[in-house]
Amino acid sequence: MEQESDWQEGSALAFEALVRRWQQPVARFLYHLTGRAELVPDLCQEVFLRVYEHRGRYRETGAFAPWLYRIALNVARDARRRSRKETAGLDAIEPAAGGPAPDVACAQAEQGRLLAQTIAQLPEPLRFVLVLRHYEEMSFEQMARLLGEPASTLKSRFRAALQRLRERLRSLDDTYMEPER
Amino acid sequence: MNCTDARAALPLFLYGESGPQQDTLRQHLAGCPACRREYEALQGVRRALDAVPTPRVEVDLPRLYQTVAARQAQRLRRWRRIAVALSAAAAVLLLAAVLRVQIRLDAGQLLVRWGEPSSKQEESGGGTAAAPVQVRADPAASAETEAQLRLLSDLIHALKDDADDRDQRFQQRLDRLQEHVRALQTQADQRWTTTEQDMAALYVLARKGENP
Repeated sequence: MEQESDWQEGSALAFEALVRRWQQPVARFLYHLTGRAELVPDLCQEVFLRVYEHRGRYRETGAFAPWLYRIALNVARDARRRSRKETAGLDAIEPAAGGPAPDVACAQAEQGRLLAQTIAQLPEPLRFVLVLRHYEEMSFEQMARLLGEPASTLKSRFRAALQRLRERLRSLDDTYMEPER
Repeated sequence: MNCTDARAALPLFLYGESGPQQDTLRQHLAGCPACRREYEALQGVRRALDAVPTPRVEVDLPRLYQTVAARQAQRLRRWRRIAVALSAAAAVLLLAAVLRVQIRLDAGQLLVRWGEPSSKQEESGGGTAAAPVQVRADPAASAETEAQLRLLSDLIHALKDDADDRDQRFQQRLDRLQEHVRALQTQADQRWTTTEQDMAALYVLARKGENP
């Protein structure tokens, strides 16, 4: 891509255009990996900082997106290692108990937040495949090159991730659709 | 196709990744209400995933360039410290090799000796104090020492020139980064001025509309 080669040569305008083009997809990717919206701005900043510092290492082979997502994956992993808080287990993420029944909009927003946390709590191999396939619409073959694993393995993980989410969604639906007593 | 195989293939079918099984699956779903319900449940999961909100983010480019400049300055300082330490170590080692320096702890005293020891001092050991011995400098050895000291001086100068050259290159990169930051700040100021002007014009128009 011409834009990527210009920024490699030090063009500030080209780099700024590249950042504007990719900052939202990277933010979305980081959010779904970490499940923590408050971390995303700093992590996104770190991703593009590394892109700028390592621009000399990128080899133009038409595969800028996988290179960028590889950097984002490493930033998310580093953040997780640095994090001192023990993340809750899957079963520990429960909707708030008690109080009046929420209206539909609030319930959907809460469900979205809980689902985001659930995604972040999936085992890393399942989470990466789910996020890359559903949100980044990457093919399994592209993912195989990015993650260095066979496409057939990634497809099995994708199936497993969807099944887990389905079970989780069923339990959340039961909570929100439970009639008032 | 049986239900077990069909249900295992549904996630990939949902995302258009079931390949040659696509038609077989479609036929199975048409004739199997249980598998159809399973498929609808997975469609619900996909819709729920789409509904998860994502935060809006704007990368702070001036801060990014400042961080890059700070990290490069830190690397430069670290390289300088290493260069100075290596130069000092090289100088000490060369001097020690040239002058044959010996450092020894002996009977409660620190003994530093250089040059060739005389044979009398070696034989008497550390028990009794040996009479001082005058050693005449060998002209050939002096010339060799001078040559080696010149080599040491050249080495130190070469290291210094290299350090100065790296300093200059790093400084040029820092200057370029500072220019980028200034350009971005100027752009931001210009945009702010334009926005202020637009707001003032809109205010005037609004007032005119109120008082025709």
